[in-house]
Amino acid sequence: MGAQIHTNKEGHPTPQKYVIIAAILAVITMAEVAIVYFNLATAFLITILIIMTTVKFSMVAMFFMHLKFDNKLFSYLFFGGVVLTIGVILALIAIFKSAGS
Amino acid sequence: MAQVVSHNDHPTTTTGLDHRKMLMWAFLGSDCLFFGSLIATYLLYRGKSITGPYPHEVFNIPYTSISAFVLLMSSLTMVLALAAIQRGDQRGLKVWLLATALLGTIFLGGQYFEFTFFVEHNGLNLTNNLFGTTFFILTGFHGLHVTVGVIILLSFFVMAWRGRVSQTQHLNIELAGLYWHFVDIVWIVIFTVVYLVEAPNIIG
Amino acid sequence: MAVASGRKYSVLRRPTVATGWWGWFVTVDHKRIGILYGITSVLFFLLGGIEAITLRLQLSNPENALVSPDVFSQLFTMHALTMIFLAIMPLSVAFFNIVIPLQIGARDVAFPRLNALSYWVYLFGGLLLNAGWLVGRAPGSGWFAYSPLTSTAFDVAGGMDFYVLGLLMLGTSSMAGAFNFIVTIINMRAPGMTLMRMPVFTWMTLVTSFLLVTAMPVITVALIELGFDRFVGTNFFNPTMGGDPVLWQHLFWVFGHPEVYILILPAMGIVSEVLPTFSKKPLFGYPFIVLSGVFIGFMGWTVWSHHMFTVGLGPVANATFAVTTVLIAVPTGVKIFNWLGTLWRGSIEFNTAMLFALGFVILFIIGGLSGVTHAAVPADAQQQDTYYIVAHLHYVLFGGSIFGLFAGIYYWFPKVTGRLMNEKLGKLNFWLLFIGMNLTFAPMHWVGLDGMPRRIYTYDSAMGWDFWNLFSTVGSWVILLGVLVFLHNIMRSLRKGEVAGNDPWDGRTLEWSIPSPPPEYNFAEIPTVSERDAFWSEKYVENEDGIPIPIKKRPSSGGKDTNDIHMPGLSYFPFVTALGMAICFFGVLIHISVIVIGLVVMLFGIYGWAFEPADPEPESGSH
Ligand SMILES: [Cu+2]
Repeated sequence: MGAQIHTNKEGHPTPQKYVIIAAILAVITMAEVAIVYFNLATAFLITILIIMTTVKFSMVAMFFMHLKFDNKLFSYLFFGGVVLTIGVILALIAIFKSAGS
Repeated sequence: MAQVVSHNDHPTTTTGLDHRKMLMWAFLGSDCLFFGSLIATYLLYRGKSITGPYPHEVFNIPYTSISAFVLLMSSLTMVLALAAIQRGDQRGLKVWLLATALLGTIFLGGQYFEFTFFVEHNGLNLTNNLFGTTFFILTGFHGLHVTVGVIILLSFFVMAWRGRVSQTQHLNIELAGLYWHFVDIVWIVIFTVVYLVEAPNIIG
Repeated sequence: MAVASGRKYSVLRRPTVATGWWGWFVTVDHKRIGILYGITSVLFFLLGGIEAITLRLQLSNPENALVSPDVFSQLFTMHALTMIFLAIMPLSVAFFNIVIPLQIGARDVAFPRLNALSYWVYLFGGLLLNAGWLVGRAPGSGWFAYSPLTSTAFDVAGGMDFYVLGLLMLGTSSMAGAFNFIVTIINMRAPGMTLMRMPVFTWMTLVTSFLLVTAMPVITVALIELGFDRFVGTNFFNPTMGGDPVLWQHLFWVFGHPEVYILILPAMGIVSEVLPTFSKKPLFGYPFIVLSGVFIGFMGWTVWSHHMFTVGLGPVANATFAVTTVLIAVPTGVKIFNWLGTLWRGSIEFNTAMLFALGFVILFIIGGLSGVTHAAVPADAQQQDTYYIVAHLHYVLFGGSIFGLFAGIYYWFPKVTGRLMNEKLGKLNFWLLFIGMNLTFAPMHWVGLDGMPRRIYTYDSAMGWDFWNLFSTVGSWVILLGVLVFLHNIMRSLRKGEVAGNDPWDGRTLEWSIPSPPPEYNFAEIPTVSERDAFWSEKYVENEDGIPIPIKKRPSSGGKDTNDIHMPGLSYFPFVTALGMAICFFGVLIHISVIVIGLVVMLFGIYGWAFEPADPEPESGSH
């Protein structure tokens, strides 16, 4: 996020900012849906989709779930789980690919 | 959380953070592994169905996009409910809680119609191929999470209606919200890895 | 913090009487829940032991027909499930419950009612898992339940139903408990107890808890998939529809290897408490012990396919997992050297707890070394599914986990009951177990390398395995004798044991600073911690030569008015919620209406719980 998110005294974004974030999320979702209708190379398409999904994921976690403003410990607890999950999924995909099944 | 002062002999916590909020975050981190295992199963079995119907024959991307959009917007209403109670706005709390529960219900309704359409029109069910098995279990368990979330939201709505959610208890709403946003996040991922990646097969 | 006002919180009146047998159903006191965990897990330990003795009797001579092949399969499956999920894990949790709040200077766990729920769900889950015996059909697929043995086509009688449902409940219980201890340890430490001042047992509990909350969801998903395959007819592990039995193996071992560390890390924690106490020295290399524990926990996630070397995953996968597996031996070695360093030049007191801790170190080294031999893929191909594996895992789980837990029992029994266990019987107990365990499991290395497959109900005399099998069976009776001595010691010490006092071992950690058994509130005054080995530093100062000199004036903790201390209130709802859950799970095997009844009971429990404040109402006029 380039734009500075203004916060109220509790450190949370104001309702107006929440609406803006939701609008950005909506736009990305529309872009996600729109882009699949262009005849892009599959690998390229999937890369773009993964990037957009990651952005959406992070924005909800950071702003709606306040991780950006909250204690770091909560981020460790959550993203620890996220990273472990991604690692296990990627490892499983790699094993199944290399076993050629 | 500044409002814990009322109970005078409650010892403050080591980190200064609330027990329940820490529990919620640990739970969400753990729940990632739960959905991760379901998603892994889905991905590893993708394209392994021996018989149809296949994903590209049944998915309706525009329809599901609207569902995804509805759930995304419910995250906005949820966070507005929290902002309302944090500034003591009881009316805002009630309105936004109800709106969130409503959007969640619309999402579930959408899922219900999607499932029945798949079963009745496409002849896809839990048992007739691998895709049906993995798809219904993954999205079904997400739906179950949404259902639990709607029940929690409605419970808080009823409490708020009866004036039983005071401004000092905004943590309750915050925790419900964290759970709700997580369910939204999971759908953001499912929407991409289950639905959108099939789009080239549908169009091409 | 639930409801602002109003008296009537729910239909059930809050229980007020904690005494009598009913008190155990409504208790939320971590010490009493710990005792419940302890007793239940020892009972299941005996059950698993009876199963093991029967297995050994069947194998004592060739072509034996004591039990049928089918019953034999059920016995070895249930022996493993019982020992892992119903004995070792909950016995570790018993120690978490009893010791953690005392070691960190807290009055209870963060969520006392959730703690009670964990216990009741564990109890019902254990009963459900064993209910198969009552209908004449226990799970018989081996504890890792490889597909297709678990499909309805091959398990016609339905023993695997109990596996799926029982383990789902037990997983729920473990996760609930682990969340509780994560929050408790992070958030309820006494002032001044920084992370690097935490006792090692507390550290290992924290690592174990993180492993539980991350590994359990994976097996939960695998069990849900298997359950749907069995109850609904889905295709997850059905090869005729494109399903892949190897996926089950992956999901199982992604959970299964962290599970191995869930079983051993608590025992390592106990040993790291016992060795310094009875060597009269601080733990050598504390940061290394702690960090290697954390590293083991993390690395536990990267090695699971070493259980699958013979599946045919290909050279890349096999090589990768061989390397990570060898790597994980490094932090384990670091721990062992630090334990030895702790003993070095200590004034060692050889009492029973110490003997068990030393036994742990010796036997775990043997089990660890035989484990490293499986890391070499070609060697593993030779060892896979032979008695060599059985030997290895029993050195790690019996010689390791069980010996560590026995050390814990002898070490903390006086804290829980106020009485010491008998040392003579204790030493007899130790030597019988130590000798018996080696007699039983050491020969399995030989017969295993000689090719005797595990899980066969009998063997031909011509194979030349007769002698060592009979030898193992005799060894198992020595173990049984040791366990009987242990039970006798417990019973006897409960009644006539020497009164322990606060600090029978000249302990180093905070639990020894309070009375035995501890009062309900544990600490009259929450201690302030300024050093590692918090209680030791209150008792001793070191002189220039590093010799500890006792401080004359013992700090007194008395005198504070304890009437003011607010303890969490008793509650029916954990029991009710667990009961509803149990009805639900049993209902899957009976009728859908029973599931609905269970759900209603569970919802009643959850709502009652949510609207019941964690603390009892302050009595009018007490402020
Ligand atoms: Cu392993």
